[in-house]
This record gives sequence, structure tokens and C-alpha cells, in this order.
Amino acid sequence: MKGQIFETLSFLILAMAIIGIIILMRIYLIGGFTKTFLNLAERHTDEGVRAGVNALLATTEEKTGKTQLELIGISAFVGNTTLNFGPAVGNIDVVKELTWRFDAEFGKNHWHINVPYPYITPDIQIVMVLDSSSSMCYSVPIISQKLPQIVDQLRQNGKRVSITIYMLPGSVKCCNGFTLACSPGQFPEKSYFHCKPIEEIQNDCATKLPSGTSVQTDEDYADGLACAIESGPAEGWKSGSIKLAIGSSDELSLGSECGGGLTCCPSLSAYPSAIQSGNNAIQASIKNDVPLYMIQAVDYADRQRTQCGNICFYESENYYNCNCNGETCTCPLTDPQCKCTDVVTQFQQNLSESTGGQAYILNDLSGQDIVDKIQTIINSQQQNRIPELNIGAAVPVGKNIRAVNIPVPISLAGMFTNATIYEWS
Amino acid sequence: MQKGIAYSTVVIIALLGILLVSIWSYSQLSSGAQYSATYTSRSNQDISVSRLEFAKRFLTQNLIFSAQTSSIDIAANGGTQYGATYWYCNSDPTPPEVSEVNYALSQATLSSMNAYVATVPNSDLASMGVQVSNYGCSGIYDPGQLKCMQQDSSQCQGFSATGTQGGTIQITSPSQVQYTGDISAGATNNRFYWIYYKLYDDTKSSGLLRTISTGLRDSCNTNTVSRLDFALSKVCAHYETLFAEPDGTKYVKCDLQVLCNSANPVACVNTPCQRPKQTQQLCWQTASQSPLNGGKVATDFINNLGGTAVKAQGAFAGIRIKITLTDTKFNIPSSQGSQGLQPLVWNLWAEATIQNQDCRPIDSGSQ
Repeated sequence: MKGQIFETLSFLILAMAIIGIIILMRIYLIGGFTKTFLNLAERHTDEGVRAGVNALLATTEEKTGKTQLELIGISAFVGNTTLNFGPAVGNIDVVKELTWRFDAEFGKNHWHINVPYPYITPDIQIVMVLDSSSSMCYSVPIISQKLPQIVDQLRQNGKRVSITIYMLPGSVKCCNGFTLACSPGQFPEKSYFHCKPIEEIQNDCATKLPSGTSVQTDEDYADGLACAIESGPAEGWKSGSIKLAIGSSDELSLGSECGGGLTCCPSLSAYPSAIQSGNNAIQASIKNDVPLYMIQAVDYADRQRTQCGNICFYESENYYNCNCNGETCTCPLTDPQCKCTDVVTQFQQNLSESTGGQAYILNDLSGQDIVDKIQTIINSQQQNRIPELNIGAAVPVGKNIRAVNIPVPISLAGMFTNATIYEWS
Repeated sequence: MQKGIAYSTVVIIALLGILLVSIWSYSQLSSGAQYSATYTSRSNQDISVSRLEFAKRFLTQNLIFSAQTSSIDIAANGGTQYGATYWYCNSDPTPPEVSEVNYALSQATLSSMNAYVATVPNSDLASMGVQVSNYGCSGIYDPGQLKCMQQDSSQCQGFSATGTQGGTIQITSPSQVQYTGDISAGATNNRFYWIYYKLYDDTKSSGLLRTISTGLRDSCNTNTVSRLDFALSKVCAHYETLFAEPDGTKYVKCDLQVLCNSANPVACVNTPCQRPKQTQQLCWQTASQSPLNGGKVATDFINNLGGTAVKAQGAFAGIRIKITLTDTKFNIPSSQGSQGLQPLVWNLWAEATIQNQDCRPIDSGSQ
């Protein structure tokens, strides 16, 4: 009897052990299965969001035929969410295009897109207008010598600077061998450095200027600036570039002489023609969003600005107050140049301050001064571009958020950024 | 004793029953796990395929940007991969043939495309297990001369590009998937070929030289250079009219740069303007959707001018000019500069000896 009881008990224990093992195995297998199932469901949901986003970004905008991915890539390069595809298409608002599509797919306030825009080195386009009257025989040779070096150096440092000099008419031949005109020997032509006589663009800009007038004299730099801004640099104004205009002269626009005499300059109001010319420059500047920077050229022989200099140029006729020998003339820069310095400063400051630019006074002829001033102007330029595309509702806290990262090619060869799209129920 | 045997039998039968039930349930669970494993495996493949589609879209987008940027570059060169392309060399019409243009565009697109491919290891695609090899060829398919010779450009406002011979896309995670096919994309709102074909046709019939000749006939100034200046001032009007829309809108703006202008007929023809002969084969099958039929080469174009006062009187001046045609209809995404979007700019260079023309008596007072 005892043996049977023990035998039965041992069978029971064995059976319970087997059942226990089976139950444990079932729990483990079911647990694993459930876990796998949950993982699968999670991954499918993630991939569903990813596929949804992928499909949305592949949809094309009607007018351009471009996909949303392409529009984001272009926008990232341009640094603006409004893209101008030309007169046949018009402007495309990337934010608007993405918003209605994502609202339709994920529901309003259930998504958020973030695309950091890369820093793109901007083009800096400069038009420069140079007074070509004989009193510029000091300053223009320095500009001619230093400006190409400055531009080369800035470009080597990663600045995408291009410059087009428009020389006012005149072509005075200075005794130092420099002729105040564009020539390859004086202003070497490069793909990013041009010098052109302003006559080349006069007809074009005369039709664009409200005044209908173009440049009148070798000192009419304000009208020259208006003309240069309207016509643009040799390569044309590019959208998205930083644009600026630099003028350099030692006198008022159209000259500091007035009332029939060499010297006048009691106040700016004595020069209505200069004021008109200046207004033309300001209007063109504001209209085209091209600030004016002025560099007042040197008339003084010393750094302390106490002693007016002399200027020598080739001229067969006699000039009043000059020492002429039938071949060259040496003229003191007292009248009207040095005597009118303050009025010129006021005029040039007014041009700059009215347009968001800056006026500088050239202190000496060392060459370093002009380098410093032009570098200061170029280095002060800031690119006007948005740092990122950030649209949709703010990402909520405490909700189950799904995020998808998508590489977005930028329309700059070999560059991409990453779009992060957040979605929640 | 019998009772003992009966108990044992009952227990053994019960135990066997339990074992059978357990084996059955285990087999059921095992098959569930198998299904689970199958699902997991399929799911991994689906995810990889989804990532593959992602990579294809990324590369297709790269191809579009590459083709657009290349069209800007090649148009700026005048249609070839060599800097300044002379469409008139020593007075002969020498426009680049469509195979030259397509080859240049193909090479530039390929180079840009592979620059994008090189970024893949640094992008999020790499963390998704995507690997891409370089492409060996980029095919260019233009709409063809028939569509592009219309005055209305609507049928010729784009072209297609492909990435072939390489570009294997491999997804290594979560499962292995590979795509070895080509990719294809369209560059839209781009009138590269519309301008090219019209320019080609115009050049083959010496449109530029005929315009200059007409200008000379309209100028009776005694100064050679002044007459030439007057004639050259008519050149841009010719090109702007050539590209005018049916409604008269002139989206293409012309700018003329006189590089050399001399009363000496040979003074301006000292710049090498010949191009190396196109020897490289295109790396894809079809060069164009229609054969290129150039305009009739007007060797004696003066005969076509009409009027009775026209007469060639020998070479009397030389010119070297650069004509810049800016198509403002569309702004095209491009790598050039920082502006991102810019109009297509075609540059063409011309070097020619100009034949003298008698001025028309009726217009002798005009200048």
C-alpha cells in the first residue's frame, strides 16, 4: 500500500513538473510572441509615418512641377521660404505648400517639420563709381593698386566678392603715369573684377532712372551711382546676393564749384544740382535695396589734414591758378577741394545714412587706409537668410511622438541637410 | 495488488494524456513562433525596401539638381565643356552639334551627381544602412529638334537625365536589399534646348552676320568703325526677336560685348576659335529624340538679303564679340553663386571678318 502511494505521488510530482515546465515554456513563448508582435506593430507604424512623409515629399507642386523635397532643397540653398521661379511661374511659398499637405495627411496641429538651413557663403556684389577728374590723381591710382589685391585676398578667405568699377568720363592723364580710365594694365580684368567706362551703361540706365538723365560730368558720381545701381554689375544683380554700391570722390557730385566761382561751399543748399543728383542716387539705392557706401578721397598732402596737396596732370591749355607749361599743369587743391571738405563730408554722409550705408574719409595715401575701409565695408555685410524651416504645431510633451529623419539634397552640388518630421495622434 | 496496478495505469494514462496535450500545445505555439519569425523577416524586408525607395528618391533629387546646374554651366560656356565656345569662327558658322552639347551636359551632370553620391556616407542614409556606388554615365534626353524649333516653347521646356552604369544602391540593414537599375529624372522649366536648337538653326543660316550686313546697309557713315558699331547695335534686336513668344513677349534678353572691333579685317581674328573635334562616344544609346537638321548653311548669305543695293565689296572690318542671352522666363535652381535660383544664360562667341555693304541710297541720311 505504501509502495503504491509513493509510486502514485512520484508520478504526480513528475506530472506536475512536466506541466510546470510546459506552462513556463508557454509563458515565455507567448511573451516573446507578444513582444515581437508589439515590435512589429511599432515598426510598421514608424514605417507607415515614414512612407507617408516620403509620399508627401514626392508630391509635385502644380505650377513648377517640382516635388516638395526639391522645393525644400532649393529653399535651404536660397535661405528663404518664398521662391521666385521667374515671371512665367511666379513666387512659390514653401511653407504654404507643405502646410496644407501635412494637415491633410496627419491632421491639423499633429505634425511639426524642422529643417536646418546650412550656411551658404553669399555672393557679395559691388558696383563702384569713381570720380575721374584730375583731383583724383592721388586716390584712383591707390585704388587701382590695392582693390584687386583686396578682392583676391577676400576671395582666398572664402568671401565670394565680385566688383565692377564704373569710371566716370574724363580719362585725365596724371603726371604719375596713371590715366583715370579703365585699361587692363591699371585694372586687370578677371571673372570677378571688371572696370568699365560708365558710358557703356548710360543709355540703359537713362531709361530706368525716373529723372531720365544720366551721368553729366566726370564728377557726377551720385548720378553715376544711380546709374550703376540700376544697370547692375557686369554679371547683373543676382537674387539672394549681398549688393552694395561704393562711390569715391573728393568733391560734391557735379563738382564743388558753384555760382561761377571756384569756391562756394557755405552750405549744401548752395548746390541744387548736387542735391538733385544725390536724390537720384538715394532713390535708386532704396528702390533696389543697394546701400551706398562713400569714400571721401584725399586732397591733403599730410596725415594731419592741414596742408592741401598739389596735383599734376597732362594738359596743354592753361588752367586758372595752376602752373602750366604747355604740357603739364600742377594745380593746388585748395580751391575748391580742401576748402569744401566739410560740405563734401556732409553730402556723402547724407547719401550713406539715407540708404543704410556708411561714409568714410580717406586719411592718407599709404594704401593701407583704403584697404582697411573697403575691408570694413565688405566684412560688415550680413547675409539676410533664415536659419531654418520650422513649421507646424509645437511638439507636445507627454505624448507618443514619432519622428522621421529624412536627408534632403540641397541645390548646391554635394550638399544636403536633414529634415525631421514629428507626428503625433 | 490489482488495485495498485489500476492506480498505476490510471496515472500513466493521465500522464500520457497530459504529455499529448502538451506536445500539441507546444506544436501550436511553435508554429505561432514560426509565423512570427516569418512576419519579422518579411517586415525587415519591407523596411529595407522602404529605405531603398528613400535612397532612390534622394538620388533622383540629386540627379535633378545636377542636370539643372549643369545646364546653367554648359549654357554659360556656349554649349560645350570648353570655356568660350565660338559659334562663328573665322566667319564660318560653327555651332556645337547636338552630340557635343549632350556630351558636355552628360559629363557635367555625372560629375555633379557623383559629388552628391559622395555625401551619402555622411548623411542619415548611412545610419539607415544605405550604401551607394558612383554612377558611370549620365544620359541626356532632349525633347528633339521638332518640338524645340517651335516659336512657342511649351513643348521644349525641359529635358530628362538618367544615372546609369553603376549607382548600385545597397541596403544592409535590417535586411539585405540591392537595386542595380538606372534612375531617371526630368529637369523642368528649363529652356536650355529650346534656345540651343533655335540658335543652332539661326547660326547655320548665318543669322548674326546677316544682321550685321543689314545694319551696314542702313548706315552711311564714312567711318568704318562707326558703321560697324551701328550694325552691331542691331544684333541684340535680332536675337530678342528670334526668341520672342507668339504673343510678342520677349523673355530672352540680349547683351552684346564687343571684345574686338577694328577697321582692320584681320585684327580680331587672331584668337584660336576652333574646338577639338568631338571624338568621345556618348555613353548612352539615344542622343536625341529626333535627328538634328541644321538650317541651310548660307555661304553666300548676302544673296538672301533682298533689295537691289546689296553688294559685297570685300572685307573691311573684323569683329570678335560675345553675345549673352538671358532667359528670364524661368529661374532655375543652380549651384552657381549664392542665389540658388537664376535665369538660364547662354553665352556665344563670334569671330568674323565683315564684308562691306553699300548703304541703301534711300536711307543714306540715317545713321
